[in-house]
Amino acid sequence: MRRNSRRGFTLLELLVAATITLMLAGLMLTVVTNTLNLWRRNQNRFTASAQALLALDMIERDLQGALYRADGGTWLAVDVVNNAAALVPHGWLTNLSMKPATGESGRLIPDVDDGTTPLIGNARFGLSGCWLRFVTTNVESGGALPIAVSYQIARRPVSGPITASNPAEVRYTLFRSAVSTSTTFSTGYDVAASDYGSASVSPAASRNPKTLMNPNNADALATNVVDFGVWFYARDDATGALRRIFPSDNNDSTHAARAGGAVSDDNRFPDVADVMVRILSEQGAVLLDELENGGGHVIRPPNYASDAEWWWGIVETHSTVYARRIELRGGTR
Amino acid sequence: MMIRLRPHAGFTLIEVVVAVALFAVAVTAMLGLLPSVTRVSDRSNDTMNALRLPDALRVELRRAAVVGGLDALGEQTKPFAAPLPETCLLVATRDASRVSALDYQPPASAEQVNADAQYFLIEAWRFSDPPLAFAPGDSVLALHIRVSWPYRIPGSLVLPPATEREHVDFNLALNR
Repeated sequence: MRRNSRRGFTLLELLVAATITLMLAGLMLTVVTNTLNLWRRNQNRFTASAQALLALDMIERDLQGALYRADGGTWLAVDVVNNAAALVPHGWLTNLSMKPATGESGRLIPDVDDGTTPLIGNARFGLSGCWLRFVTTNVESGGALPIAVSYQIARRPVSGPITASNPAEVRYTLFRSAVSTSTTFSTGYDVAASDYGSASVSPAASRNPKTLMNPNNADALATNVVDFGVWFYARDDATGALRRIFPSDNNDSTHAARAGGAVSDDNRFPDVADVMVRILSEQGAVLLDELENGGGHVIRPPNYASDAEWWWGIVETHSTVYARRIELRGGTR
Repeated sequence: MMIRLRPHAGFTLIEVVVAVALFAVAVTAMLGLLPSVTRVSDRSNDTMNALRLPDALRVELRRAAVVGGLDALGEQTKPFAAPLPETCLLVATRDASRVSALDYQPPASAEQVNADAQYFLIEAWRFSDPPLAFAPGDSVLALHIRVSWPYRIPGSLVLPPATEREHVDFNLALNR
């Protein structure tokens, strides 16, 4: 019997074929989607890890070479700035910023409920994160001569002027400002001196080369760093145990290592530092940008009681914390 | 009688569906291998963290040296020899930011070393041969350090077998 070669498919055949194809397509879509999500998370983590490695390596080299001399000057200082207006001279774009200053952010020492020692990785360092500056002899800074350096995060457009009308993306970035050896020599080794303050609130075109306050965009060390903090410890000469000297409590937002009579913990040069950076994934940075600059198009989900909680909810979900313990060897005991 | 070929005959529907199914299975199998990249990445991340340990380790060893003296610490660390002797043990958190001595000079104050802070196991041996060998009174204690992981997995009570641990080795010196 000869089969009619021009005969078409029956409806049943077509339905069965379409069903099988759809099932296969659905299966493949699920696998491909999951794989791509995994790949993206992996890439984000690897990028953040590489950034953290770069930043923490630099901080480690700088802190290991930090200098201290009991001459009354401030050789190392750290401040947590919780006032948005006070961050303008640091080159912050405070317009539309939703990062809370206190409350949700004010966990300089996180609570622990099992009697263990709190970890810096769980801490939150206020609105600004830590503004850390000190004198170091990092050999990468043009020989072993002392230089003044500062580390801080700033929220600002990634390029161009620090204005709300700048269309560039706004990001939280960790900066390292280094003053040249000759300028440090002529300005002095007191990092709290007003000469190291910012001379301009818009540094993009006119950065004061002496500033430890207002970093240039070229000083960016790592992007999407939403929190940066340090804890300082002094070592007990008898037991060798470390005693935290900064912060002493959740309200201790400043530390200045300088001699002046009997040195209190507030003015002690540390023996050991814990340093942390919290780095957002690019996806988290985009979400945060939409949250802060969305012009009200993004509505807070009902499960967040406040904007502060919402901000930290997104950040905690999309960020990774990297911490390191560093020994400072430049102090006199 | 000549066999006549059908030059215009295409594939049947069944053939096409079977071909698509085979293709889909092959692609899915290949994509299924990709999660192993995550495991490789985890291992790489842990290795990088382990290599970051020397500074935090030196801080803890210095504490131990203050409590008992460098000579006592040198005595506690056994000479590096085959087979490797049991020696001074320390542990570290997975992010490598916190190191605690396990069995020598208990941790500072009321600190407890909980299981979550024991991801890395750190073993410290001193050198047995000159010039790095240590004798009481010497000003420098040179150590061979082995960091292996996972020692304890956070949240798990099961201790992974020692044979399945990854490890890195490095040397470290403490001054008196």
